[in-house]
Amino acid sequence: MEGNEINRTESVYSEVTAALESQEVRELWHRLRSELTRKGGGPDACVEYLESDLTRMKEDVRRALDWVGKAQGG
Amino acid sequence: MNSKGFKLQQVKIEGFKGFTGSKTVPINGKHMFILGPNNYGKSSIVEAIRWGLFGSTRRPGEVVANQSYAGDCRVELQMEQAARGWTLKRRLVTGTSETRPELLDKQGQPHPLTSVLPELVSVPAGEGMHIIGKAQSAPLRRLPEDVSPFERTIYSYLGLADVRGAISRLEDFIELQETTEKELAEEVDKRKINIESELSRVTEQRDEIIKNPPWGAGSIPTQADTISRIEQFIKELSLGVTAQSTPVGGLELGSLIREAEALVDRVSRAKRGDVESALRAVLEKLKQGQSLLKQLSGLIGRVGEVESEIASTEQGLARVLSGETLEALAKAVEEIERQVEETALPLDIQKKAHAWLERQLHHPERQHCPVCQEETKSEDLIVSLTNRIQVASSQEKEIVAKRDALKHRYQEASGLAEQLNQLKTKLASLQQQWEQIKKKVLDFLASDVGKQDVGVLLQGRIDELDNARLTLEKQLRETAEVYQEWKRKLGRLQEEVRFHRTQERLLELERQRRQLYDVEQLLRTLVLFGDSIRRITEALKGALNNTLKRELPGINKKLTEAFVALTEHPAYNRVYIDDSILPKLELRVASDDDPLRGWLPSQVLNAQALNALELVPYFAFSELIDLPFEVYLLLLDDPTQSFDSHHIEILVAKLAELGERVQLVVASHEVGQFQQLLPNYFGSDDYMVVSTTKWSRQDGPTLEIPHGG
Repeated sequence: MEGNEINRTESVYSEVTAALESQEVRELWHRLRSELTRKGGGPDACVEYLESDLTRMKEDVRRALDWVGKAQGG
Repeated sequence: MNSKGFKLQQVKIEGFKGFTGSKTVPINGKHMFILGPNNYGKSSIVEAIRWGLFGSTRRPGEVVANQSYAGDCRVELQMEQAARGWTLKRRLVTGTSETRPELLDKQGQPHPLTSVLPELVSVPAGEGMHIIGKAQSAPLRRLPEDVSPFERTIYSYLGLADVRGAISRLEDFIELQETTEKELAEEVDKRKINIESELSRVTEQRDEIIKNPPWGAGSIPTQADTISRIEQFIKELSLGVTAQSTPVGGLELGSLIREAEALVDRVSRAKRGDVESALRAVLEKLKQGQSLLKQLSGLIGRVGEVESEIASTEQGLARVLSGETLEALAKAVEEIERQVEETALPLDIQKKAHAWLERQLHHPERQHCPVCQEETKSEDLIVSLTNRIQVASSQEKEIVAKRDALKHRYQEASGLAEQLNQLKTKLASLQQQWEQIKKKVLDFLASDVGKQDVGVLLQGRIDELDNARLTLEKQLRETAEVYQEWKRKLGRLQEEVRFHRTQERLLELERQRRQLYDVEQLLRTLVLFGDSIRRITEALKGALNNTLKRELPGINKKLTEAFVALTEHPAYNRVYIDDSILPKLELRVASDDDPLRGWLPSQVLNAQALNALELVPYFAFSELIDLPFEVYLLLLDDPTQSFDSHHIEILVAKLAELGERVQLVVASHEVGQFQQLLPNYFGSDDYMVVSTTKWSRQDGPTLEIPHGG
């Protein structure tokens, strides 16, 4: 990547960091940013990372729901 | 021309679009202008190069194989980079839209495309821009489909492709997140409604039981109380029936009540079964006795009738015989027959003949007379015989009359004697039947009695059986009543058990309600996660827009310069990117006369200017690029559509400038114009012209290629 390009992208990412007030959201953004900028990473990797988090949370909810469901069935 | 990039040396095409058998076009690193009328195969050459490089044409998904050509569909590109030769072969896998690229070095050794041409495999083929766009220099990424070719160019040029791509992907993710949130929230709500509804239903059931408590006026029983009551019930029930209590200790409530239910059924079935079985036996016996009685009564009647007939026949016979015997009467008949033969035979014969003829009177025609052996009429003979009979002597007449009377008496006595014999035989048979039935009755009564007592005793026995039937039926009714009482007791215990069940279910539902609260907490975490992504995406969009706003003036300036140079438009002399819809990038045109007002190009430009505008990015950005794309090639298919001569010359001049940095492959139907203009702007060694002069379905395009390329 050209220096100029890196500067622009990094500048955008830094601006995002500054704009995020919540500590929790900022932590999530740092994880996304490292996915975006790491070698072999990028938007696809970043969203894959999020999807994996979403899938995990979805499974947590569904598992808990299934447990309630089983109790209902029994 | 840039020396770092790969240059095209030769293209070989077979079975691709308008091409049939293999044709080779040598290029030798020069610019190539393909000139010829429309539909003569120019575009097929441009698209074959694009397909060979990227595996896709300008319109992704289109059918590239020549459907009327039986051979393979393949393109082979020979390229050179820093004096190294490479061959990129691409073949369409038969029957599919898949392609197989193969990259070989000069020695024919295969190399992975990704290691030699990494940029090439990472960009789409849809637009010509990527060929010269610096944007596609490493690290290149495929931008999402919703980003237009123009936007790709700008974002890539600014090195912000990742940021734009991230926004697009995050927006897609947010959609997925929202769908997931909605789906899970609906499921949680559904579950919640189910629990609340069941809580309400079970509470109602429990309250209904309490309103009319099966345990009576006492306090609400514990499960232990109910267990004890059921155990007591089972004990009483089993003792009453088997004089033995059923062991039930240690069973839980459900098993215990099931045991009680089964026992009530079992005991009831057993008791009812005994009575029913006895009743069935009595009814069977009763039926048998009644049948015997009927047979007996019938037989007695028939015997009486026959005995009476015998008495009457014996009286008749005695009257006919009048003190004589039948044998004596037979002898007297024999004696008088002998006397008739001796004294009155003619008269006897005449009378017999007369009687015979009387019987024949219905035959009026002539008959053969059995006496005189002549043919005569019956009437005549009867008259003749009557006369003769009349003149017979009184003695003859008397003896014949006496014989007739005696014979008649004998015949009557014989008939009565025969009838008497038959009646006696019948009586004997009835008596035999009587003996058989009597035996059956005796078996039935299981006793030995005289003939006169059988019927009476049988009737007495039947009466006894009928009484037994009535008793058993009464017992059956009583058993049913006892069973009903047990059922009532059982029903109260079942209701108690149901009460405990509803209590347990209510506790379970309360527990589920608490669990569902935990699920809601998990769902809240998921929703908060989505909110975070939305906030990050918004912040990313804001930061990207700020950067774009800083960079756009420089880009707008270059775009305007290229547009003005290409079009020399008299009214619209400004081109800019609309910053009100960022991060979407769309071109607007404006005029210095009215700088604050922008227009959609399609609203105000004619076809020539619109085509020129499409070419603007090629010229604008090629000047801005320091590092070229690895295959630094511009493919343009008929860029001069709607151009007038003047603007064609401007375009050729701009292409010549561009040709300093980029290898050009340009197709055009403006044959005369290009042939005239090209020598003015290009050195004769820098370009070649391929003419398409003919096209046929069998042979494909006919190409005129200058000697030496």
